[in-house]
Amino acid sequence: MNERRVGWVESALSHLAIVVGVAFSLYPVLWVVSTALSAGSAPERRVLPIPRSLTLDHVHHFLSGPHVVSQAVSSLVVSVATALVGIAIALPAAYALSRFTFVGKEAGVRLLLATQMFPMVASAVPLYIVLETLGLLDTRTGLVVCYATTSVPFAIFQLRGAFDTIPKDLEEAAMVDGATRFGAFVRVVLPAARPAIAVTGLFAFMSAYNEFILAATILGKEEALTLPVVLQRFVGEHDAAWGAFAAGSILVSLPVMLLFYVVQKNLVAGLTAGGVKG
Amino acid sequence: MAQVTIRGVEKRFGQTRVLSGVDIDVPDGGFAVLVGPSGCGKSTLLRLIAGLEEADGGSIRFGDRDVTRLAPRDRDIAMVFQSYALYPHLTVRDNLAFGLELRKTPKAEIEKRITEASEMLGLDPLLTRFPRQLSGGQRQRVAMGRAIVRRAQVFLFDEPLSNLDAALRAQVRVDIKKLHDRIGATSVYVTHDQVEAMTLADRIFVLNRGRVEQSGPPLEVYARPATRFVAAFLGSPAMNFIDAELEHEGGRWVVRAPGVSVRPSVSALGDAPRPGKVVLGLRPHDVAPPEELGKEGAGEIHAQVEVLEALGTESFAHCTVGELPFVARLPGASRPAKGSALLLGIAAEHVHVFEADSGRALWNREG
Repeated sequence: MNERRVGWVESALSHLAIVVGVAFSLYPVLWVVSTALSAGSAPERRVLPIPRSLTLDHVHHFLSGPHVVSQAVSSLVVSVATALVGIAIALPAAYALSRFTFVGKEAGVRLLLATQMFPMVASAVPLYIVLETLGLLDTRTGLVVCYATTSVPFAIFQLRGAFDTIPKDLEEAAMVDGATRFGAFVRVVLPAARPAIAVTGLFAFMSAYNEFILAATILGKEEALTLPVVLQRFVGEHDAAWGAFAAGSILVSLPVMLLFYVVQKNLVAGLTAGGVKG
Repeated sequence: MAQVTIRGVEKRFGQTRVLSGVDIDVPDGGFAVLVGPSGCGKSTLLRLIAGLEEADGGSIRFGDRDVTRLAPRDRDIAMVFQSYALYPHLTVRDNLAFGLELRKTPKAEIEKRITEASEMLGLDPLLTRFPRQLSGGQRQRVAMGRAIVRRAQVFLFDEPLSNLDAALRAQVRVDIKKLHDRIGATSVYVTHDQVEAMTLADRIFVLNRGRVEQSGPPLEVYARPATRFVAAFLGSPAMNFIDAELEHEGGRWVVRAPGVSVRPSVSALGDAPRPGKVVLGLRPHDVAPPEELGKEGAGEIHAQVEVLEALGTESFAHCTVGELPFVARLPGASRPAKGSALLLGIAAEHVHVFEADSGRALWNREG
């Protein structure tokens, strides 16, 4: 009886904490939704984010931009390419760092870590010059190359950690069973690391998808702009279309939400459980 | 199937010498057990046989083939890992088929072998499950099945039972023995468990500090340990060791220590024994009160009982002899009281005498 009451109180308290946390994080989001659906161009000053009059005008405004489709495609292409390039380069590098010992390994790892200490903006000017020299300025390829400079080291760290948790026995069993080391990597290690690869890819995708400063610096052609740059244009120096900006923000967020939904099963780790003694 | 011949194998990790000059012979269809304490090099030796580590010297042959420098996949071996190493993303069936598919075995043949192995090991109800859905014992069986379907030349076992509980371990031990009798594959089995070593092997190799300390049929090694290390390692409870003096007295050799006076057999002493300091080794199972010895006694041991562990069919009397601890096995019926004096006898062939400094049995002396 007593125990049950303690359980009830505990449950109520933890739910209260969750409700407060959710309200705290959702409040600004709800304001964005409210602004997107309210008539008028500026958000109203009120406590509760409930629109007075509902309208889809702002959504129309955002979607009626002349290049909105090609800009959305541009954003997706750049982000997917960043994720794929990042994973493709990081997988073998992370595997080597996890499994082999070689000269310069620790120094290399430290160097990789060092690249993570600077904000991307700090390298904006050198990257600009490099891209100009390579003739990649104002191209999506150029932007992907820039994003890869940060996504690759990050992905290497993520994946190396994941590979470290995969027992060597699995590859050795595969090699005894008749696989080459590369075969063991492809057939056994990669499937076992799938959740980590999915998460790493998702992070690379998101960081590219959300990035603004480099995209604004490097891309110039209107139809190739990525969505964060497009969004920013709605709140210019002289007039601010907050409604359209809010509506656009929600639309732009949808793909990432969708991705999270698809990948969430992989976010729950534990695929390797049971392979070796558990 | 093939015989395994290992000659002078060496292995170093950095500055540490792990194996030095190891020779192993396993006849075709034989079951060799490499046994020793942790760090003795037995697992490294198995990994060398598998090709997962490369030898720094020496040679490894399977039948006529020199496999010393071959990659694991080219050696035609199957291995059961201590961790089982089942592929987590594959079902039991696919785990079994993995190696066969890599070798492009025809579908029908794969199916046939899986059926055969799952019958042998009772895997049928598990075939569609994933490793994470299996118990420890089931995983162990799948790991065995994955080795069996391969029909490899040599089977390697790396402490395959160490993750099972005691009851299951005893069961699987018997199963492995049955399987080997049925399949007859040349096997090399690594364990630190002396019971597994004694029961499974037709030849055991006791390793110590990277060397083979003694090898032979298990009962022979047990009955005639060549060194104090081997004597201490095989047998449970472990052999009693007593610092003693070897004396020549009235034409006979006698080993004496406080409370002990025994006459070893001639074969235990080797050629030309010299009087002096020795270590006397007596197994708890070999001593008994003189009237229960059933053989002619070869001396007397005066023990003082400290603790009696009665197990029903037998009891272990933890005593002191002189000042030293001494364990004696007694038949279930005898229950000496705590603190009482216990007179024990022993047959001459069960008296082991080791050199005090080198630890070698006197019959195994160098030079």
